[in-house]
Amino acid sequence: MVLVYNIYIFDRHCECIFYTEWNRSRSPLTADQPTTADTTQRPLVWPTTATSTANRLPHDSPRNIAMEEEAKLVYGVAFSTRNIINKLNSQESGGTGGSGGNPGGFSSFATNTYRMHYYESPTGTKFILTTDVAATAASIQPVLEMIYRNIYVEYVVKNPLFNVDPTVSSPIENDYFRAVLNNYIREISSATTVA
Amino acid sequence: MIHALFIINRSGGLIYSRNFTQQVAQLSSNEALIFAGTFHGIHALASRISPAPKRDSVRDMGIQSIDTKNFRMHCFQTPTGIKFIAVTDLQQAKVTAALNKMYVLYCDYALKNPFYNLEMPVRSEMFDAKLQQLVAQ
Repeated sequence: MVLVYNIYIFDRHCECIFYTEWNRSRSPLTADQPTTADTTQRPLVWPTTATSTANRLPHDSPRNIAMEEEAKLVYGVAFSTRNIINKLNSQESGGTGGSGGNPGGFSSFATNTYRMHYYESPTGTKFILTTDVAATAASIQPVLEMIYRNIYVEYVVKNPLFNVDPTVSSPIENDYFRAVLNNYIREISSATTVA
Repeated sequence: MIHALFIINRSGGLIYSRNFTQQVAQLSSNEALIFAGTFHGIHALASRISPAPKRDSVRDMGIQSIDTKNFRMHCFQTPTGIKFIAVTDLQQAKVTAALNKMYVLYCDYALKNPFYNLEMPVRSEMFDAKLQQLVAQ
């Protein structure tokens, strides 16, 4: 039983290209304010990747700005952690799990309320998943790799409309990707042990 | 097995760093200072971005452990804000007891020294020796 809170996907330009959340009842960066019923009811999607314009919040809405700020913080924390781990890691080669910009193999960190899992693809796409503390790094790494290999690559990269220009980052606006990801997360949330 | 220890003061400055084995890279003094500052920052930020539902009794206290391919890092923060960071091997699930003992050593051999300036680097042979004893156990 894994309680999954949310996922962030960042491209090589440090840009958040995808965000979605599942069991989250707290608004971004409002740790001290009570959450309203409105934010707890419907699942929230990353504003710039909302599928229809009706769902899309105005670009300068407080919610949107808070989300963007939070994504930047999350990226900053993961990036800095990865960097200090790489500094400390003395084993230059060998072993599995580390590749590309992550030779130290940073896989997760935990606080007393949540655990943040990190996976970096060889091309520098970063997947960040937050779960409850009990989910171990060893059990969630395969999940992130699965999301990259069988969901991200299949539904986003293999899409003929995928933006191949490496200098521009574009948010993921693919309904199939979202649906398959949702199903997969629901599956691992309900399974007693993660396969 | 404890590979290394770092002690960071309340404002993110490094006051002690020591490698016990060759398993992790020996950081130069500059790198160690950067490490301390960065860790201090991510520790504070990690508690701000918690997605967990807020409960009145539970506050997010920042990073407690970091898992990597080759080692695990454990952080213990004292009530006064000093952080003890131990780098251990992956078999080590909890080193809270050892970190607590290190805190006791720090109190006994650094803080109780009348010539020790608060927030400044710890230079004490006794502290070094006692720490070595503790880690050897």
